[in-house]
Amino acid sequence: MRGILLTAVASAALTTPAAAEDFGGFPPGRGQAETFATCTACHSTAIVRQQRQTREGWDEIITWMQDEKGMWQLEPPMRKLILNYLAEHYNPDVPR
Amino acid sequence: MSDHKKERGIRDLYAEDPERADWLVFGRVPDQGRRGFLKGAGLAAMAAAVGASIPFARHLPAGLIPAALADTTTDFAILGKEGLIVRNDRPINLETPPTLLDADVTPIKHFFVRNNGLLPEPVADPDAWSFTIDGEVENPLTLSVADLKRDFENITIQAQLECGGNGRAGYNPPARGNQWALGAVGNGEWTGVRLAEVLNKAGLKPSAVYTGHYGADPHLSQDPNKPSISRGVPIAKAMNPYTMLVWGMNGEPLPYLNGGPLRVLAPGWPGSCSQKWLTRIWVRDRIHDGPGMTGMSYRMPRHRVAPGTKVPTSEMEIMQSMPVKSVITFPDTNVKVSASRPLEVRGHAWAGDRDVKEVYVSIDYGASWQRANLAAPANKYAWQRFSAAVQFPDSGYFEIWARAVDDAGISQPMVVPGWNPRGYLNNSCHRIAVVAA
Repeated sequence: MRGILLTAVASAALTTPAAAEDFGGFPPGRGQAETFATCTACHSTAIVRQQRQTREGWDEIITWMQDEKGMWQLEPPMRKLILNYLAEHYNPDVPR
Repeated sequence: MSDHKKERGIRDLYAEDPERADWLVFGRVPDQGRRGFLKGAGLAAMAAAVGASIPFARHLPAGLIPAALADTTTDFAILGKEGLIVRNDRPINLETPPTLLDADVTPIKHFFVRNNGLLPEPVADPDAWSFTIDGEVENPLTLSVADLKRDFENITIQAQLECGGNGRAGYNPPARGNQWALGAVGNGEWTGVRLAEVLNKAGLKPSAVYTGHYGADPHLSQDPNKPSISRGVPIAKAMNPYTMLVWGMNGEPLPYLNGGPLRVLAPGWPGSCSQKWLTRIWVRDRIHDGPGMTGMSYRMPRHRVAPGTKVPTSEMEIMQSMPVKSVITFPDTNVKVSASRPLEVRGHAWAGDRDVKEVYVSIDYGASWQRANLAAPANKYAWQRFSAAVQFPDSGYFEIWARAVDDAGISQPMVVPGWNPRGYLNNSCHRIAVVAA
């Protein structure tokens, strides 16, 4: 009994988290991995996937997170990559 | 990126710290033999999660994820909540579908959850939880829950509690934040003490004008120097006889996900005034300026603005009482009903600091209204039951709308009210669809 249960524990622990396999539900595209890694340092992708914002709106949100929420500064090419990704997949014309 | 920063499903929690995951997920605390010591709510939650009773539960080792759940990533039924819409899983934000709000007192398992930060460490002894009152007081105090229970009058009241952003999903252009639809609201039966009595014991100085509340929930960035949120209320609201420090809910200890062991309850105001996991009340000599008090957060434009307007911070003011609102809790939307006999429609209405005076229902898109029966609140700040029997004139598609009017004569709007940058205070009429045959 004990041995079987320990095997079960081990296999559960070795399983790769589902979130990392599917980028938390972020759709494929240029910037997917970078956006996933940056956002999920503090919060899950669920709060991102709910939003519908213009590129300008997303830019303001990143600035707000940097000013108020302890988000680190992004190198300009990284910021552009993430903004492009968010604005393409989560803009107001995308159905919720 | 370290492991603790990944999105956390149940498997991540168990991989990281199995015993803590046991506690977080099932309320399960191991006994000294390192077996999972399942009883009471913890066992019921685990049984509910796996879909069957667990005959050999007492043999299930601590920290072992039940195999039936090993493929689950986000199942908040297991955190003592059932049937809720997961708006976000880190931080945890859960919304109640309208039909689960039907009871006069919202069951704990259906009560919505709003978090700005991460969950704090659970504690073994809720009575030992303590908080401080300092700032503009004669005698700064540190009090435990046990002290509150022993030294002040214990009271129990019903009160509705609503997130300031409830209804945000209705705004266009979209406002950022959790896209709450209807159910970031509930009516609890709260047990605790009047905050006024505790403030009186500390002795407010004449310079006291506002409270600043702090809780134990860590900031999302896990920076220990950053509060996840710290809001407060004017002294007059803090001294209101219905503003409480609460340790009990619906006859049980205040649940962990709803702020237990101890929270503030400032009924009728945005839920963020009712700090969870309370650790400190800082009495201020000015309007509190913690995270959530400034900028655009929990603030409305002083003057009406067109949708999408960029509003300067200087033109924003702090939200106080929530507006009049109602929700239809029966029947569910999209049901088929009989056209030949009356249909009972029911729900609840509330109005922040005010009472609800009248509720009306319409089956013709607001062209005509029928007055509903409206019960008195169980006490000030409890929501009020309404019910009406509606008779459809014919078969076909109908919408049932409900509209409440407060004691100042202010009605819910039939369409989405004034757009605002963060999408607060949407109290438009709730509509459900029915097909009569």
